[in-house]
Amino acid sequence: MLDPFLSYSSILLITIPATGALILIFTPNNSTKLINSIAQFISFITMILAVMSFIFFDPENSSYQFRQTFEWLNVTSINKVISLDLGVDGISSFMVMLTGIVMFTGVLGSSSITNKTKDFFILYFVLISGVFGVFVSIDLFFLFFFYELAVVPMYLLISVWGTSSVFENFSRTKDYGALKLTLFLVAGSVLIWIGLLSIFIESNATNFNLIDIKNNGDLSTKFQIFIFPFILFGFGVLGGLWPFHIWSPDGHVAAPTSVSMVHAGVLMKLGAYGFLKIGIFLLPEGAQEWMPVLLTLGTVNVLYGAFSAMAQQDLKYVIGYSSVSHMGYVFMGIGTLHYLGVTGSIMQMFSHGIMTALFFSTVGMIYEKTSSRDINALEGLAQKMPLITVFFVIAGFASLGLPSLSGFVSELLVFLGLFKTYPIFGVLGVIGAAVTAVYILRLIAKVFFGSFENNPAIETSVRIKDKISSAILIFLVIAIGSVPFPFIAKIENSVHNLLLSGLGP
Amino acid sequence: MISENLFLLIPDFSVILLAFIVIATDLFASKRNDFTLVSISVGGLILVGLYIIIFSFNQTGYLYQNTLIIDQYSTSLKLLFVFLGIVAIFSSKNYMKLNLKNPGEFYSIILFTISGIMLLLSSNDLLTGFICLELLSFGLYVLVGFDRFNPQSNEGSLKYILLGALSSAILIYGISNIYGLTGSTNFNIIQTFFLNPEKQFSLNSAIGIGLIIVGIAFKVAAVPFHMWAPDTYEGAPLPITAYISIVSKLAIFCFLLRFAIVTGLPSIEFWKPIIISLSVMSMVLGNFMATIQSNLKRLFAYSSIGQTGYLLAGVSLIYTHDGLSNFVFSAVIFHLISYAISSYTAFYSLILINDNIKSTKISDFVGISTQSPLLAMIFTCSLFSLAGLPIFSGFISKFYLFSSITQQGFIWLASLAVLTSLVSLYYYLLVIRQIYTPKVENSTNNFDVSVLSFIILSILFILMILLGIFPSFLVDFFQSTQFMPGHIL
Repeated sequence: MLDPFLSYSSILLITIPATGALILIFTPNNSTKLINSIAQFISFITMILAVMSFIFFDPENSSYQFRQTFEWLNVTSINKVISLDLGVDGISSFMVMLTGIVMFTGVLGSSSITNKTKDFFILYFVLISGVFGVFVSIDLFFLFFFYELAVVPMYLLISVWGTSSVFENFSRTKDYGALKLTLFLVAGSVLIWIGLLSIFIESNATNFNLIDIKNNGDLSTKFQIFIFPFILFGFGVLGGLWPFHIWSPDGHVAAPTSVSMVHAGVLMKLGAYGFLKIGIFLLPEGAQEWMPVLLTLGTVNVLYGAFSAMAQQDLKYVIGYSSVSHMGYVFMGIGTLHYLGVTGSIMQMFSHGIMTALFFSTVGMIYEKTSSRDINALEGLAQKMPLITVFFVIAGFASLGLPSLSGFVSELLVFLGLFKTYPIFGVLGVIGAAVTAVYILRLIAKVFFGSFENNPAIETSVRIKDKISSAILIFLVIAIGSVPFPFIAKIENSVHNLLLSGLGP
Repeated sequence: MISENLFLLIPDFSVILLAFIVIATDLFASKRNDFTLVSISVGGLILVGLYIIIFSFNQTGYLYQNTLIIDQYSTSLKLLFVFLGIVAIFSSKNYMKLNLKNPGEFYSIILFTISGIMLLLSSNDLLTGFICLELLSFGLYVLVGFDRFNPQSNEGSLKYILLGALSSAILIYGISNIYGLTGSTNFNIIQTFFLNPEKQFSLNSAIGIGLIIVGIAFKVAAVPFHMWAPDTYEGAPLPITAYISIVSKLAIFCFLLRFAIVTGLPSIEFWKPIIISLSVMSMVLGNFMATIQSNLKRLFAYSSIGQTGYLLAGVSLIYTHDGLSNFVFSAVIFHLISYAISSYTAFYSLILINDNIKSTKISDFVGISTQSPLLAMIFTCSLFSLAGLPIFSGFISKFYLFSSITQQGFIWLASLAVLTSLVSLYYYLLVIRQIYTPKVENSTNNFDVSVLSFIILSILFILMILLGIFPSFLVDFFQSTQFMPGHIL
């Protein structure tokens, strides 16, 4: 019964949010309540669809599923066809589920947006539609198309609805964060653009999709090595690869809560995902050559991110830098080119997405109640806001890799992969995890425990929407941490597929 | 010789007739009546457009001893320019009413320039092309200086006339060189002359072609022959700024394309380096200079110089070692159209904004998003399209153009083009930031935008998105052989 419906799921995932944006355009401006309910409804349907397309994904079959192809543009003079070619494999369906969940919780967390709610959700849905588009596109042109589409609305989302960060000796306006983020991301996509153009022209395949280029493209080793850095650094910018990560803390801090959740939770994964799909899958020989660079930069990511997080005064900056640090594990895992490492990094992508979303939503709640994100000013919140404290502590424990929470599984897999291939990097990675534990525990001790003094009349109740969204995220953090195997089973075959062609040990 | 079928020129002649009707109506009207003039001009142009679609789309032939050619290339582009002409007239309506005198002359001159463009598109001869170009330019000289009592407008017009005359002189000198060499100014004869490999490399032909290129580079404002553009754009009445930067520039590009393709000159060695260097300079200088502008008119002047660079990059590579590249040709035409639509969307919104805030300074754009959210949204989208972001036409046309450049083996040129697009995004974002910055003082007077303007703007906006999502309809047509210049059915 579900089959005919599900076979369209890949295209529906793009069109439902887009339709949502379209419906909202024609909704009256002032009825905030109606706008909120439309947004919640659309995002709820999208989430259900996303989760279903993961559940009904057949792990035995490693090829692309729910596939839809429409011919789009035929370049007759060079005999190449660009088509809208959609479908999911294990990795992308996993990411689709992540997107679905984070975007729904993001919508639930945006009830604090009261100014121009309609415009906010229109842009938000355009963003989401772009993100889904990247994950379900097999055709490289459309992968890039949706990638850019996801970048476009960010500027306005941050510069209109964001918050500036002002402290005694440090201030960053939201305009600064938004401009920096957009320019960095577009600069990254310039590199990707150049890389894709070369692949488009160089490959002998008629189609521009991943499978056809892989099978019939005949990309020479020299070409692969030449073009790999474009893909590596291009997607690396969005993934937060050191030293191109500097947009990420500023951008995340300036963004409103739900946008931070989606951006850190899902958008950064686009970088790693594009890198896996184009870098590792299409350019395996180039990947082999460039992996030590990725490993090194990933390690710097982990350590640099962790130490920077330690030094921050703004609660949101801590989370921003911890994201940079955690994305480092993703890069390290990919850098191993080993089955365990890559599986670990995909698990880490998911786990980090959930965890960061939880972090940002919690910080958003704290900011809403106390109007402060200053670590030095906040103290003893546990007495006043026990529930928020629980949320934050769970996210924190997942982040430092406590067993039975999601972070543990993914980091463990990454470390196993590293010790099998490059043990020295494994050691550095473990050190990074230890540093993470230090700053997270210090943060929890400082902000949540101790005595609560300032402003006793503070409003501390948690909205039901926020409770639901946190509950969903916490459920997943625990589920993946305790029973990771069903999830790993779904992506197993696809990872093997990705690493084929004589790669890795 | 194919029999002279003068009916082929009905659309062109009707536009000239229309121009006379407009000026006569103005002459005999007792008082100023903008509405009648606009409706006559637009109605006439719509009729011409319909005539082209219904009767003359598949009619082709040579006229006046091969000096004019009517093929699908010229016919379909005429349709485009008639459409752009309608947009131009609508966009001037309000501005005209508020700021300028003598509407009859204004609209009739616009119609004359359109007729010049239409004949230019059909020109199959250097001399005919030159005359049509002058018909276009003379109209523009007047239009730029139309704001008679504004010194800036006069300055812009004077610069435009002087440099325009200079460029015409250069152009005609180049043409005379080619004439002396080949004994004709006809494209087909020039082609047969240069097919002989021995005759390709003479100094005379180099000087002739070089001067023609310089003359045309002046007219399309390619660096280093762009000096007139920013001042002229700034001085001209805003709708005319749009008209020069889009319509007249693109018409000259269409002429250049026909010249290049029919004569086959780009297969000569020195074509590529000359045009590529013009293109690189335009891309880089245009986009970087735009970052430091404080007036949107000047900003658009420089950004349109940058766009000239992209188009020239395509023009330079139109011939490969194995003949004409259909890929590059269709890419240039598609980018041209996409640029026309996106840029007119931007300019039209700018004109509507200017009608209300009476300024084109970027710093005065604060808070437009609260005063007119829809206009701000459309303006923002058109800027995104110009910068080359999806889902707008600018993205796909740039992707298509740059991949055609890459396909010719010029990956560095494509990379440079992509990089300069990033720069263009930067300065567009600076404008967008102003638009979405909330105003400090509390003035909530909404914008006064007429329904008609809004409809035209929406049509442009929808076209911009449709081209971005379904380009294959146009691209397939541009790739077909019947669209090639000089193809007679």
